[in-house]
Amino acid sequence: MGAADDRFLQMFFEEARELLLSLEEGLMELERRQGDRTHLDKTFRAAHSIKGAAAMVGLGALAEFTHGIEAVLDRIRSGTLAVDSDVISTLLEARDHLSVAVEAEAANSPLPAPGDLNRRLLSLLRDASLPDPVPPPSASIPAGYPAAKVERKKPSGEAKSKPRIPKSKKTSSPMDMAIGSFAEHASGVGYYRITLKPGPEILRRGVNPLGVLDELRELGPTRVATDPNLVPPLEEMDPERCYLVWTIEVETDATPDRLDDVFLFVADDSSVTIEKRTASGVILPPPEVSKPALAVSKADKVKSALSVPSPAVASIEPSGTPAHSAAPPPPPVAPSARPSAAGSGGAPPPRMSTRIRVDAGQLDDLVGLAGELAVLSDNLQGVREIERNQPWIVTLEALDRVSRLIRDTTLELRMVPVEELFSRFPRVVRDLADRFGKEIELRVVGQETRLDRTIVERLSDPMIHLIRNAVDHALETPAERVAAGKPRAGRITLWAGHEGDRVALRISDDGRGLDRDRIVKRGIAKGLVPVGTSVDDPRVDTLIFEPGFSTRDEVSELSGRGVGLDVVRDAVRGLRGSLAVESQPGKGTSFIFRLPLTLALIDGLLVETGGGRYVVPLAQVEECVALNGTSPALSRGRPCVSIRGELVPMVQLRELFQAEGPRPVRQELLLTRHAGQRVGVAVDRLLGRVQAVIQALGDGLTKLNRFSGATILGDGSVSLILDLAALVAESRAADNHAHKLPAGVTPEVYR
Amino acid sequence: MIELPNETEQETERTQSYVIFQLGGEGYALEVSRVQEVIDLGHLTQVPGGPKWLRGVINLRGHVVPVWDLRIPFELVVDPKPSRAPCVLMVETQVASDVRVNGLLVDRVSDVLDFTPEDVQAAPPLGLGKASPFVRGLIRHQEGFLLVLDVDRVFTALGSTLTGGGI
Repeated sequence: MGAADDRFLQMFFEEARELLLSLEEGLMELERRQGDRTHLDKTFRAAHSIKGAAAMVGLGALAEFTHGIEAVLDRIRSGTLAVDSDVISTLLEARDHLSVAVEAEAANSPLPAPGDLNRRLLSLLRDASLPDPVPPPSASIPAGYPAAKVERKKPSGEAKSKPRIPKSKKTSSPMDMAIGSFAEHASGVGYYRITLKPGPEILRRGVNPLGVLDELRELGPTRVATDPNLVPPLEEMDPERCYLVWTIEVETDATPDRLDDVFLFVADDSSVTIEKRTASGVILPPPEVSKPALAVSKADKVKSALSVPSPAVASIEPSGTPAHSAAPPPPPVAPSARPSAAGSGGAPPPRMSTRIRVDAGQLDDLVGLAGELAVLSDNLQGVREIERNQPWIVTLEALDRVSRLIRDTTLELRMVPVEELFSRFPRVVRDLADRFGKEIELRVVGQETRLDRTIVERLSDPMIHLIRNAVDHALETPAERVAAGKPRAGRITLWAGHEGDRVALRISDDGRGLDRDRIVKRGIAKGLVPVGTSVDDPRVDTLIFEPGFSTRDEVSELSGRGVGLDVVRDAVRGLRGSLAVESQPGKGTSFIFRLPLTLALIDGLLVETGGGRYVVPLAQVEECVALNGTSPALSRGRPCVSIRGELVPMVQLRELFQAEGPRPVRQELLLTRHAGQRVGVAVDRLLGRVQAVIQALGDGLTKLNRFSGATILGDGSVSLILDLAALVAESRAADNHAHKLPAGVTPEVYR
Repeated sequence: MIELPNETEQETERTQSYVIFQLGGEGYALEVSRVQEVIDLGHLTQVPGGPKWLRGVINLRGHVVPVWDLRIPFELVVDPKPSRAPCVLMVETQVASDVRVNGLLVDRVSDVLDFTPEDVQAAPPLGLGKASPFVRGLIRHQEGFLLVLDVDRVFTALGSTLTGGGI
């Protein structure tokens, strides 16, 4: 039981994190998309879903706090609260608090105090409810009831603002839920008869149907009835199965939407019929009522029909069944569809994109296995050369095709749209703009571009760093911008797209551009560039990526915590990517990340040196040239070669690896770039191109630094993946250390 | 497990099975639970610049696994022309909280034997040479002693020297 509880809790945390994200996105867009009902509904549902889910797993305090957010959103939905920047800020802060609280629950640490958030949420509700500036149409509020409601609401609302220290485990719902909806939609009291017939599996899914009853009680006076005869004798009873069917009569002024929302969590595997009654108690015929508030999922119709074995069907059953048949068929595409909102005009319910959650570890295993399968297939391909025209060749080719498909599909599983990364930034930009008193317009382009999920995860911090820089340093204040003849609002553009076989991400601003004079001065002072370096030297821009380089003298709260762009660049390099900068004075700056599509697979060159075979990432090789032993440009011992008239320093891999045996007369030179300079790495032979599934080397071996991993070749042998940049750096460090070479043979001189 | 009469059942619970192997002329013992499998040494890919006791990496059913030669840090004799091919013990090692699989090159795996905790004597503080810190105890067996290897300690201690070694 404890394990099951734990599992549900884990599921809740995962779900809550996702919902919190969509709540944030929703809130961010709310101001811009005023009047967009669908969007508002979606945002409201996010809050509502969190509340419901929290209550179901017994996290009453979370549910209660979320209720406040939901209530404000409900106010907005009912048109009694106008959306402005302050409202959004409060809601965003409340969301943040909720997010912190969820993480605190997940880590089993004490919940943070909500501060004045409860009070502020409440004041939003009060502002709207007390003056009641725009009485909603057809507000034929029955006497007595709303007044009593208001009386009841206030004290409980006050109680809410007190920090609740002990978290009540079970959803002792009268406490948590009956606090009273802050904002009911005052469209007149309706009498509803609701039949709730939970699916037999509902308890196993960890859903507590009683939560629904509690929530209905919250909406108004209810009468609940059920037929105990449906429960089988004890010896036949499955304790994890729900046998009961409830009939609830509720008198409420809530909208049909609101009623539908109550059943959000049970709608998937329960059948729910909602019938409206006139005050006289006459039940309206189902066809008329089925439209606003009726939700039956198709699967459940079948399931519940089949899975009630008892012939003694409850008396409510007949009334439920015709209602089923009258229900509009649910959209077949969304099996998990929630009750379709009455106001959404028949559009499919705005469920978030059909997403699956996959365990990252399993996924990695799958990628490894699939790679292995392709390798096995390669082995068989090798055997094929021996015997021709055998029937198994067909099978073999199929195996080859299938295994490659599996590999590609599983790699695809690792890919996520950069939207997951970009979606955090509107909030970041909004907060930063507020803080620095700047006006910023954020544009996002190409967010559907897909990228390895590990890359997406690890890019978040570097990108936020650059965005902070842009807001803090690069973009001018509105006054400065106007004076410079630019639009008041600065613009930051996030762009994602493909560049060849790489993905490029670009963060551009239209701010003041890099201050080259200052960078050069600083670079000279730090000894990074020679004295007298021109401002136009292309190396100037890349100086900002040097460790400890900062042109800002004062340390700003956000951007100058001693973390420089070198950290950003290193992070990108760790992902086998590169970071570049382009800047025009007065026009703006762009930072460009160029990244591999995936981390699990690389295109490589298979090379041989000193009897060993190694894979070199193709991305590190600019060019291969033949080295025929006659071209040393300087005397022996000064490893430089002339490539089309350019003197290029060279690293002999054989020597670095201390390979035995004579050097072959003809070698190949792989040209790569190190610190902006061309450097050649000499290998004995090129064997061809390979696509390599990368495996990490053990802890001890990664410290070696020469190899970025290992891969298994077609013949089953292991080949190490060379990191050319590290090899060149190592070789240069060895040279400098040995003081053997005259200082003149460092690459910089030969530009 | 070996079938034993009821009286000794209690005894069985207390015994521990050990894989007995030869390393540079010495007999070693390692708990069976730590050994995943024993394989013949196939193609080894050498790691230039790796520590001396790293013989290379192998492909263990699609996984790249390093193979280590304890004879080098233990300063045992390495037979340049062994009469039979060495084999590799695949052992699970735990360094900090990280569980990994590593290969240990051994001359020969001779047996799997059961011993009770009483069979395992404390190792003398001296006299075992470079292997001393990594021997948890001694088991008297036949004519001589078996050294009980503490693989976690081996990889924890030698792991830190991985980069220093060079070739």
